Amino acid sequence: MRAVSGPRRRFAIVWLDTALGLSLLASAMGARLTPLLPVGGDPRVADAVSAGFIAFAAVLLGSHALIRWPRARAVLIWLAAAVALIAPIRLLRFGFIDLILLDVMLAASLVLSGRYVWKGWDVIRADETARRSPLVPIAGWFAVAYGAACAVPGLGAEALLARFGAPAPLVAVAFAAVGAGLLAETRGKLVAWGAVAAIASGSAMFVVLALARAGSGSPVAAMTYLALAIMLPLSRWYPLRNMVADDLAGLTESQRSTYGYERVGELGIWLVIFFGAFYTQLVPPVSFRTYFISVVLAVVVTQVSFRLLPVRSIGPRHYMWTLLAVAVSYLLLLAATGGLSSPFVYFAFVAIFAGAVVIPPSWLWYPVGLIALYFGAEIARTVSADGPWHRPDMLQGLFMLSALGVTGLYATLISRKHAAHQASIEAANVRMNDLLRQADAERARAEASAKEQRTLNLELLEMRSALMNVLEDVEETKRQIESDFLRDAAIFEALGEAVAAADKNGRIFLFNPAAETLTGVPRTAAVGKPLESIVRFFFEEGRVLQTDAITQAYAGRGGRLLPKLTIASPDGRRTPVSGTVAPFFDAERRLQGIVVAFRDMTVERDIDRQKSGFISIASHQLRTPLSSIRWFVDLLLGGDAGKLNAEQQEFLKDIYASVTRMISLVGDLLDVSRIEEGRVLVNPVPTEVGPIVETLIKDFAGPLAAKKLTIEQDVAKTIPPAVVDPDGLRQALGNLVSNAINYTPEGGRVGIRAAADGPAVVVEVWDTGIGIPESQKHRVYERFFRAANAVSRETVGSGLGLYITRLLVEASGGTIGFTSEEGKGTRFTLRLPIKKA
Amino acid sequence: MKHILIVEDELSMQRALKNKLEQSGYKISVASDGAGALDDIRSTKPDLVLLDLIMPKLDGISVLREVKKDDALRNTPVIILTNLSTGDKVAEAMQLGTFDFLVKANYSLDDVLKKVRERIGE
Repeated sequence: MRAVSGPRRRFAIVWLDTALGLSLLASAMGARLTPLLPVGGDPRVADAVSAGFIAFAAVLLGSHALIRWPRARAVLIWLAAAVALIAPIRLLRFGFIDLILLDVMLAASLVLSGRYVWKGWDVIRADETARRSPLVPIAGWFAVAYGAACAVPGLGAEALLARFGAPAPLVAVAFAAVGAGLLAETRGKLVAWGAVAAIASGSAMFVVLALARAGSGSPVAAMTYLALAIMLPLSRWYPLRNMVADDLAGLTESQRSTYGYERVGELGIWLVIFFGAFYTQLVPPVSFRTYFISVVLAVVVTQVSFRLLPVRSIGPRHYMWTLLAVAVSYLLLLAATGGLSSPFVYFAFVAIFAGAVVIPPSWLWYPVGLIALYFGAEIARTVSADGPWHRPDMLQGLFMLSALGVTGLYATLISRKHAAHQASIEAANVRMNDLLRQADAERARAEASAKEQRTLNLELLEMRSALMNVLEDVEETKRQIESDFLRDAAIFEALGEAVAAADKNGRIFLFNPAAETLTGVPRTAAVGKPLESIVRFFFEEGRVLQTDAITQAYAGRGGRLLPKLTIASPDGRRTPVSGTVAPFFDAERRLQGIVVAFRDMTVERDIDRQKSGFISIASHQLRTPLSSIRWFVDLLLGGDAGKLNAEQQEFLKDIYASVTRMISLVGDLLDVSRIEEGRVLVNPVPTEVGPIVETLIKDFAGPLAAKKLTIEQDVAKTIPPAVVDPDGLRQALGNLVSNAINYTPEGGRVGIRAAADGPAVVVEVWDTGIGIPESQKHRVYERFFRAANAVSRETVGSGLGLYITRLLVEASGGTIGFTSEEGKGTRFTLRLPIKKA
Repeated sequence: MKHILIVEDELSMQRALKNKLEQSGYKISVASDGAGALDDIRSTKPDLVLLDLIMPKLDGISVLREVKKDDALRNTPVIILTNLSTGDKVAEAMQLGTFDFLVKANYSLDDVLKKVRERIGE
């Protein structure tokens, strides 16, 4: 069931309340239409009272239209109250004291409800979902007051009773119930069902009254009572609905399922209680003391039963037990008192019981209330026992009022307790919400940190996998490097060339197997030793080589080792080798050491030797017959075989010339071949040039004389020794002198000069011969080249002489140069070093 | 009369030399191989030996070595007459003490005679 809200509901409530007010008013008026007063029914009194009521009702009705002007509304209400009060004051003149009481009660109700009026209209205006109508408290208090009035005998209760055939207490109770219900509604939900029950029973009573009135011939009054009976529950429909909705909203699912049963049970019990109270009007009255004791007993029983009951929550079972307790108590009361005559006892009983049902723990209030009741009753009895104020029915009325008061008190207490309870529940809820919020926050934090953790973990995993990749790469690279290194090492080991490397200090740190073989020194013995003690180079003649190449390498210059080196092994073996020496550097071009690579040249040397052997043999084989021919021609020409005629001599001379030419050619060819193969061993040593020159001149004396050439000798007295190969020098100078002789015509001059000139020894061979043509000067040193003028002059000549000469001079460390002028002569100049280069 | 021993395996050359030198007043004996030469040197102790190098049985250098070893023969003058190129055996021969080394093809008989006269006289 959902709460009703919105402008429609607001006006519905208001108009229903209005109708209720109307009915209430009408029924009140109806009650007054028949004069009840002992004065005999002065119509003016009735009119006055009625006028007051009508004015009040009109204001109430009219105030609905004044929703927008709450202040004006309030003023009008107070005006109406004043009018209502004036009438009774007027009536005082007539001496109707009892009426005053009624008016006082009316006024009191107005006053009490004025607060609600003031507040309520504002609330309704401001709050769409406002659930209460401000008219309710007004009507409530009015009903209570009227009910009380009916209960007081002097106000016409008996007359009412007589008229309507219904006991005045019944009416009183009906109104009282209605009033209590309406009031309770404003105070809190807990007794709202009691209020519902009260209203229901009140409605029922009014129906009875209506029937009674109709039966007694007052159809209008009957209709007003009926209208009230209908309007009562109808006007309470919306509030009740809202109340139920509010109830349900605060319940759990399981509680909701039992809610209907609980409410029905509760309502049933209330109805039983109320109708039971009415029914007992038929029973004669008993003494108060008896009543009191019975009530106490009933209370005790109910309380004890509640304490003993296993039921802790309000539910159908709870109410069954309650009903049982009520029945038991009723029976006890009947037994104790022999019956009950007054409904007020039951009303009081009901009030107490309601309290017991609703707030079991607060049983403290029962004895307090009961004691108050007792003392009040005693006082009333005492007061009323003998005296002008004594009214037996007043006692009843007082009791009823007390009962009402207690009910109201309980209602207040209950609602306050409920409010406190609610407040504590609210507080607990708030605390719980706070805690839940905190827990949520904590959870969120935990989640966040877990998330962070997860992210970190992921990052770590990623890093780890990246690291693994890097490691794998590193491993791979390492393997690669290792395999490359192994491969390079294997290559080094497999090299056919011997390789030995020494560090900056000349100590061997690399030595391959080929080096082991060639030097005869195992690696283990070689590593760490000085290079020159292990790798020992020698010249072929056996002299230890001062390893210039190695020294140069340490100076940063690499180069070939000298040819014709041998390497000596510890056992004295000599192996011919050739090789290279080179320095090696680090990244900053700093010398780190040298590496010597050399190879066994035995095979090459053997081949060389074979070749040289061949050449030797070839030269020998060529020359032998030639020299034989020459000598025999010599002999013949010398006349050793007999005298020759001129012609024979000529022929023999020709033969001789050819032979000598051929010998010369063979000699030149062999020289060239040997020089080119590097087989000419040039050994520059300090050589005295002078004697060589002198010997040379002596040797060429014959040819010189044959051509009638003059020889001029100019050899300095002291010439320092030139560092030159003596044989090479001899041959070179011999070639030059021979050329000079050949290319100088008869009668010319040839000269040799030798002298020191600074760091060199200068040897010059000059002639006054045909000279060398300018255009062919650059070709004179070429192999087989003969200048044109030389060829035309003298066909004999191999063209190798100068070639050989230059080779020999330069191999000795000297230089050769010439100056020449065609037709005038030629001068060849040799410069030979004095010191070793 | 000075005695010259000619050690030469080429008979023609032997004859030519012998002819020339005998004409010049020397006593000549010949050997055609190294072994025979040694024997002759030992036995006849010539005043000069003209030594060829390429010979059967024992080559000239070996003969020279033997001669130099022998105290009695060491000082015997030796002129090497060969057709081998100058450079080949020079070193070896030099080591052994001789310093006349003639390539036959390059010398006429008169030149040879001159050399002989220089060495031992007439």
